Amino acid sequence: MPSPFEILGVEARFDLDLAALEKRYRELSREAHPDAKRSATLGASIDLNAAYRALKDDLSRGRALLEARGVAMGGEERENDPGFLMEVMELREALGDARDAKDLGKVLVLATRVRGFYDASKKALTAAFASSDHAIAKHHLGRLRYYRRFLDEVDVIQEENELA
Amino acid sequence: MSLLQINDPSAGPRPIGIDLGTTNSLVAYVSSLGDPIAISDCDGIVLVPSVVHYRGDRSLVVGPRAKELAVDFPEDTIVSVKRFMGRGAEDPETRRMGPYRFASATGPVVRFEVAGRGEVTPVEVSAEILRELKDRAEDELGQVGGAVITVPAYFDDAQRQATKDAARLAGLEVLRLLNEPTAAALAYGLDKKQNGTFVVYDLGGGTFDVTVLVLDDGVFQVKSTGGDSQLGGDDMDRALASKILEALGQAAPSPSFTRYALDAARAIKHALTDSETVTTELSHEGITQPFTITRADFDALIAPLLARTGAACRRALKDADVSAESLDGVILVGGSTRVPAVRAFVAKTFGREPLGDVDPDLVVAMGAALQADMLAGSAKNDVLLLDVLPLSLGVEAMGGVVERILPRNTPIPCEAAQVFTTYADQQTGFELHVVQGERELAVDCRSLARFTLRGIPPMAAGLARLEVRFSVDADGLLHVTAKERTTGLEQKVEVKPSYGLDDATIERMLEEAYEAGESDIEKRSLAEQRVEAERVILATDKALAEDGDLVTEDERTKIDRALTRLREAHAGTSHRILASRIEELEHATHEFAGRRMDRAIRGALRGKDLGAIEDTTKDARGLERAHDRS
Repeated sequence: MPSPFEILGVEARFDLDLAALEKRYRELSREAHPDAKRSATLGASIDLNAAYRALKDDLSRGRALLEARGVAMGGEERENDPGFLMEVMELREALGDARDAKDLGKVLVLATRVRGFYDASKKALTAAFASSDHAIAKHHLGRLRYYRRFLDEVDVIQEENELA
Repeated sequence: MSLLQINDPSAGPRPIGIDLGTTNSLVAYVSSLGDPIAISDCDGIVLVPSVVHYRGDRSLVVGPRAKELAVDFPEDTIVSVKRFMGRGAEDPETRRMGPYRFASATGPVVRFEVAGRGEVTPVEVSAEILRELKDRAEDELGQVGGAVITVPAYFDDAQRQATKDAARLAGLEVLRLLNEPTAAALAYGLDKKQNGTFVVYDLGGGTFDVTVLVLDDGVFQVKSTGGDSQLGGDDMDRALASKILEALGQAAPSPSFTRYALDAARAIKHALTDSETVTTELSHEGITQPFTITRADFDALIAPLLARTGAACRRALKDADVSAESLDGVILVGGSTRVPAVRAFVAKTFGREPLGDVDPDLVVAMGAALQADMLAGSAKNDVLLLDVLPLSLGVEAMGGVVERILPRNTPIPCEAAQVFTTYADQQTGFELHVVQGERELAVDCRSLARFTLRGIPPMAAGLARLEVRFSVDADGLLHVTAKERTTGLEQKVEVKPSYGLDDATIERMLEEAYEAGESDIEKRSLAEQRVEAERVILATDKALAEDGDLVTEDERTKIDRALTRLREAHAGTSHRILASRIEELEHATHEFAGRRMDRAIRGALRGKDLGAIEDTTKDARGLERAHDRS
């Protein structure tokens, strides 16, 4: 099974140009989508869609890159650093409190902070991949996953708030 | 069928695009020049009201005439059936304000009790609308090929399946179920030949969709979609109808009052598009009440509905990773976007004025026709649509939690496999509960189906490796297959849909429809002509009673004779005779009608200032005509 990078015909690196990736996806769809080409198979279209989805997203792109480089993930990525876990737990607690208090201002402040952490980890991840430091890359992928979940929860709270 | 056949008979069947709307439906095709054309009736009207009226003699009427009958036969006339598609009988949506008789309070499908038929399901009602559109297309084109039928982007699997079933029942070959906003973007984009990132805000009669897509040299890539399949113009009508019923002192309204209030609400809503204030007189079954409402009152009534669309818009932008500032345009679709408050809300939400050169009623059908033309292989455009799954798909795991298999906004077609194992020794069967939605608990999502896998080879617990493959096709419909990995045996998957009709029921309905066949078309024409005859007779009797002094003796003899002949034909069974007798009567009353119109206008002008006339005629039909004459 070719890697998502191979399917889309792009270099296997973390800091892909996402706009160019999207354009490439559209071009390839002209060949792979059964509506565009009678000879195209449903399977080719499904594989292209899956590859595009994998590369579009930071987390799944990171996983795909590790796999393409032959590094075993060993299940879901986890960050076990006690200091980090403590920090995340405190952040989530604060978010829960703000949610209960319906303090949207506080929620947004927390979200901005976590977005900052996310960007910092993503930068570190990019550097780790560039220097093929895969142990560090795994750590940061784990962090991204925690931050992502936190921000997803912020979205839910925001939507609740809008409709209330 | 007319004698003059404009189309080249050797051209073969023509693919069509159908917009099956909550309020109105229409059918379009692509001309040999490549332009999409909406098919109109003999009066030049393209919109067919999505209304089906059932009569005691097992016949039925679809479209404008059915709509007129809704007030007098509220229970036997199904309006906005789209809201009931793919829903269970106990679904709260089916219990909202409406005049219907439901056959049962529970079960996987809604059943209306109507005259002449006993029970009908929403799939059957929709099939009648589709059949009417197909007939129209056949009248225009001769032979009709496959059809692209549009659905709200936010329709879930059950609602899509129900739509497809209705099309099959109507004898249509479905080329594709196409999302309405995507269809609109296709028609707009091909027309303007413009690239960029666009938002389609589609607020129809009963559903709301918002879609973010990129147009790039003929490729239309949907990036995200969101919405609410229970939100639309009907909800505005309901909000206003509550006020109307209150004004009429109807705390527990009869079906007839409910239908009257909903119709009046819609008329007032339309009037408020052009006027700041509407003053009218509510009058039904002897109760009369003056009623005034300002646009500001109305805007306040619908504000909560608009807020719901705003939340979906923001989420769609976020899912697409697009900011409002970076958009190249906002396309408005759906009749409800004519409401000024909706336009203002959209402008505020996206920080720009929506594009003004789109016909919100026609653009979806045009897009469907274009897509049908492409899929049928006669494409003149190098165009491709890439759409997404609107709602996440998952399975119910231990503790009722949803395990997500394919997240929302995944490009389709797509596929995902999940491996399950047995939990008991010698277990040979396995049940999977598939749900759709964004909530964490299965009970809060839409239950799609329970899939039972059988024929697993008996092994110790935990040894079997069941690979279940979930695929979503280009119609957005889910298919499930399963394989036991240690033995490689393909498993039999039995599907029990949570909502809608099972395959056996659909097959039976298809057989029945086939048997009824031709006689149905005859019956339908007869029913339509009978309704028209009743209308004309009633109107003539009323006119004679009111303005009998305007008729000469000679005219009166002719009118009376035409009336008698029409009544005879009404008792008969030939719709052709009936049609010609209706024409006869209309001919006999033609000059009389002109004199009545003159008298009415003189009466209105006498002793009143123009403002007062404007007020009394504001909601009256035929207003334009009256102005032309004065």
